[in-house]
Amino acid sequence: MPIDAKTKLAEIDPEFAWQKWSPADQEPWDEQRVRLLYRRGGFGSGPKEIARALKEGPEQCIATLLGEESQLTEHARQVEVFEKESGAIAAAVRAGGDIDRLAAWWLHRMLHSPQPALEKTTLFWHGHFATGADKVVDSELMYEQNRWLRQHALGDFRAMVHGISKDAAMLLYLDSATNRKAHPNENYARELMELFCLGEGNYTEKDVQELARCFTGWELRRTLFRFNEYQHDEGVKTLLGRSEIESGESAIDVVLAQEAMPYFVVGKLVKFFVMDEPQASRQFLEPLVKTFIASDYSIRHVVHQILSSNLMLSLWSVGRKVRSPVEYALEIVRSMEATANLDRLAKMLRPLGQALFYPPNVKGWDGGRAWINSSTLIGRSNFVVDLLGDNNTRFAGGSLENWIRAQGVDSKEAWMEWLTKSLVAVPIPDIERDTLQKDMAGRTNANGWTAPLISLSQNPRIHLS
Amino acid sequence: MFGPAKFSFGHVFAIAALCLLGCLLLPSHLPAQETPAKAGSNPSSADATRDRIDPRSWMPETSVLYAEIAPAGRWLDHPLRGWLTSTDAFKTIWRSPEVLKARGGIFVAELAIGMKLEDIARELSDGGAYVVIDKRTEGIALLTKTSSAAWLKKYLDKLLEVARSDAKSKGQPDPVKSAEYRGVQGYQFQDSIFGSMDEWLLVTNKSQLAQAIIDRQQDASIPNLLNARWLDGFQGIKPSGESGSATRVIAVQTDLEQIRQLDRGNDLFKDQAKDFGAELILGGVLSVLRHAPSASGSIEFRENGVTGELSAPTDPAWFGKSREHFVGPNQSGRAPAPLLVANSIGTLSAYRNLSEMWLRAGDLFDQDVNDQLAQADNTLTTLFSGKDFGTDILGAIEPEVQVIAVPQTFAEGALSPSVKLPSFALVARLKKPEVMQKELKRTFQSFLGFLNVVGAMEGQPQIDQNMDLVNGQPLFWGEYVPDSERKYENGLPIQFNFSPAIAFVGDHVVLASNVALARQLAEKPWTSSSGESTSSDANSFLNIDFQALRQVLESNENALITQNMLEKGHSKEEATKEVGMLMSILSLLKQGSLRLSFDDRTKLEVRIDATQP
Repeated sequence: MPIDAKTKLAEIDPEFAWQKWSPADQEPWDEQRVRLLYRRGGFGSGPKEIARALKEGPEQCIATLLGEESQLTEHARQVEVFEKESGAIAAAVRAGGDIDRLAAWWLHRMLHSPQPALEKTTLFWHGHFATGADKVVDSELMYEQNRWLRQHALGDFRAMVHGISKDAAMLLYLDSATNRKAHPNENYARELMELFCLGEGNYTEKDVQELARCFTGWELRRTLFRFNEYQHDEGVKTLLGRSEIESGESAIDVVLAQEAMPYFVVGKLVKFFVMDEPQASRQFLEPLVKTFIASDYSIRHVVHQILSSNLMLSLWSVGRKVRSPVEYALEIVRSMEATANLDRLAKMLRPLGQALFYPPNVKGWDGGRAWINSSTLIGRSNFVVDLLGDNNTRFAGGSLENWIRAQGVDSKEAWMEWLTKSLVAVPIPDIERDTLQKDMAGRTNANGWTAPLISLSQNPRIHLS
Repeated sequence: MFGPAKFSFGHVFAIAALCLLGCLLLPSHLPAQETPAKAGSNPSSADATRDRIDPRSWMPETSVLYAEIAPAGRWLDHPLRGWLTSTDAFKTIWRSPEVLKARGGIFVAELAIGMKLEDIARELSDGGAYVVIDKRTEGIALLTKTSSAAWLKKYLDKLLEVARSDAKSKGQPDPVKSAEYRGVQGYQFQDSIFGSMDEWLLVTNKSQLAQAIIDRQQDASIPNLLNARWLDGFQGIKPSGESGSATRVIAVQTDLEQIRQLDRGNDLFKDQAKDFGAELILGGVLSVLRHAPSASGSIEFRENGVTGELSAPTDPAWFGKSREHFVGPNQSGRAPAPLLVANSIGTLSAYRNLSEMWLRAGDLFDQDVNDQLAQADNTLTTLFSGKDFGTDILGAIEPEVQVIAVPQTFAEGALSPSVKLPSFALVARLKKPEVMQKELKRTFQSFLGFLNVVGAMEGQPQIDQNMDLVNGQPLFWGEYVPDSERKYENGLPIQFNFSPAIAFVGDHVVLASNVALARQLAEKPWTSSSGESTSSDANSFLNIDFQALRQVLESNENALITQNMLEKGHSKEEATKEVGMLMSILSLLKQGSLRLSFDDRTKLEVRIDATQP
């Protein structure tokens, strides 16, 4: 039975919600579901991806998104070619040391990676382990952290936490480059429990102090992590009820072993991939938590289950998220097979509230409704105007008009329909459709083919995912 | 865009208007463009006609710019075109998808008109082309003298027919409006107005300007451009064979006084500059632009290249004291003889009293720039160990300065920077070498120490300081030391292009971005290029070796491709092609120079030599 879109979360059976979805007469594997998967698991889809996914079916589609097609040599070859190309771009960007250009490089990955879910999950961890280049300054350190996040984005969560705890950019950002036994630095200890692993209410102030003692002697020598044994507090520490803690590493293991940890991490993944609101209960998360634990804390297993679940593909999740600026911008670009000036694109994301490598604070981006305010709404509309007005923007290598005609669209009205179907996740009421058509017709300044997209960018529904 | 289904009269007209320039690049030896010589289009008959009518007599006296363009035949038959179209680089570009697409459009247009573009250009401008910009009507007009009135009528009728049948096939109304003025039939299509006067074609964007030209064509008593003072001394396109080895193809003159009135807000005509760089490069020219009554320009084809010149009459009083830093006292400032350094990318040699310019900043720049300069002055004074930057540092050198750039070489297989920058050196004569050598040495060493302190704070590599004697004179330099604990998998960071150095050669100081260049300059006796001796009258002279420049770009090909991918969103294949095309274009160019001189005229001469043997 499909999950009705109006069903309240509390009324949905958690087991059924996270079970694997299968196509049925009432719920066929269709374009809407492909778009939804690519929207949530990636950064939108172009006509070719949709056609391929429809032909291959949901399992293959999810495997492609997650890069789980090792058996498919063609896809593996694509990944290899892409990684080589992206590595060459990264090398040139790193040589210049420009953080803004690093953002352009990441956008290139988001737009062109054959494993979009890997980039999407890396973006999730970038917001989770938020580190801002405004304070770190060194682009090389930001790149190294980004590489670490990507390497473990779908891997073992525990390994990721251990690594990030010694990451130079993170330690600089949290003022933890030095941590002496005389003055234990509580910053990283607090964020590790509150923001990274457990969430508020799952530790005490005393635990923060004790964990900070465990991390004494952890410091940076220039940009490299080192353990200064002379500054390590050798005394007995009691953390989260455990007292036999020998090192910072074993302290991290104690934090990771807490019962709250999988619920906290899985809950954030559900929020990121499925719904901004409401917050899922522990009971609702239980099936995913079991998967997380059973897979030895494999993030890939959880993300795979989320993307292939009844909750996701029954379309209950449609419209339950507000698109982040990166999602909004890149879906417009990808859906029209566009290429653009990526340096400019990276800069254009700033006024929308999501500059890559510049999260607002250690809590990362709040997301959800916080993405939208009067300023960012205007910014989102201006983004479309700027993108379409830039001479470097091309559509499958050619003009917008040629691309539109290649889709079999021959009038502005039909083009508006195409855009609505492709970019707007939720249905648009007839009255709003009329308004859109009138607005489009009134835009005499805009080029005939750009007017529909500009009009659509001002409709609030385009911001829902 | 020129596909048959979308073909329109606008495209045909645009091609007709641009064909003078566009057809230049059509290689005559390629089969698709081969055309027999057209009877009646020889230059002598055209020139004879030109002698009878001076088109200036038809131009309104309120014009502010007048230009003459040589008949297309003179461009098309020049040996440069034959050489250019025979090069591999040109053939590569000619077969590129973008050019193929454009050629397809041209082919369709040629089919519609029934004539090849090159032939149209020859016929259309058989007696030359003349452009005028009019202040009163704010219009621009192009007059071309075609080969014959009969040909022009046939050509115009065909264009009109194509436009009308195109509109008809789309169910649209007649797109061409027509009207008669004093017996001349005129047509309007979109924003263009055109018509014929015997064998003359008139194209303009303003009907009032068309009327003004027709009025003067029919009534010689109406004031026209013939006696305009701002056109005094204008040297137009001469009949073929009279201009020696060079072929003048464009000549233009402007009424600067009127243009200044029209464009008062333009920064070019203001006393104070908004940009430090602009003042440094063009300061003296700005004084001339602000006062000169007129300016003229020309482009000439030579056997192996192209020469361009911009000039304006000049009065020494216009510079006053405020731009003495640029032209020298009584315009006596001369660029030093450019140094010859093997395989250099370029040499900039100029007279610039940098100290005077720095200290005069309050008069030269607006408040914003002065605020920034005050900030920079503080920083630089700190950087140079408390020495006043304007007085002590810039004031230590004579105004004759030059900058040299050479490609850097890195040992095969050794760790090298991922982005390979060229080396630069500033060479200048010291005012008091016996005092300043010691001062500058100490300042330089302090500067390197400062870089080390700042670098250490930011986790950047450290500089190791060294010293050597070259020809008995000291050479000091610093070298970045790679971090032994860091892996440089993608090559060294960009700062490893630099090993800042200071050397003393006689009474000169050499400040180089790289010790190898400083040593090269200190070791060998200096020689000047033959063309530019110390007695040169140039204020500034820039020489560029395009092949050395290409070498630098080639060594950074990957970085250029990456930059193209990020800036244009291109795929790697597209980016590689575009960068390849840039290299192909550079391979056509041998040397370039830019020379600025002040005398009774201010002259800016540009010369580009092709790699043609």
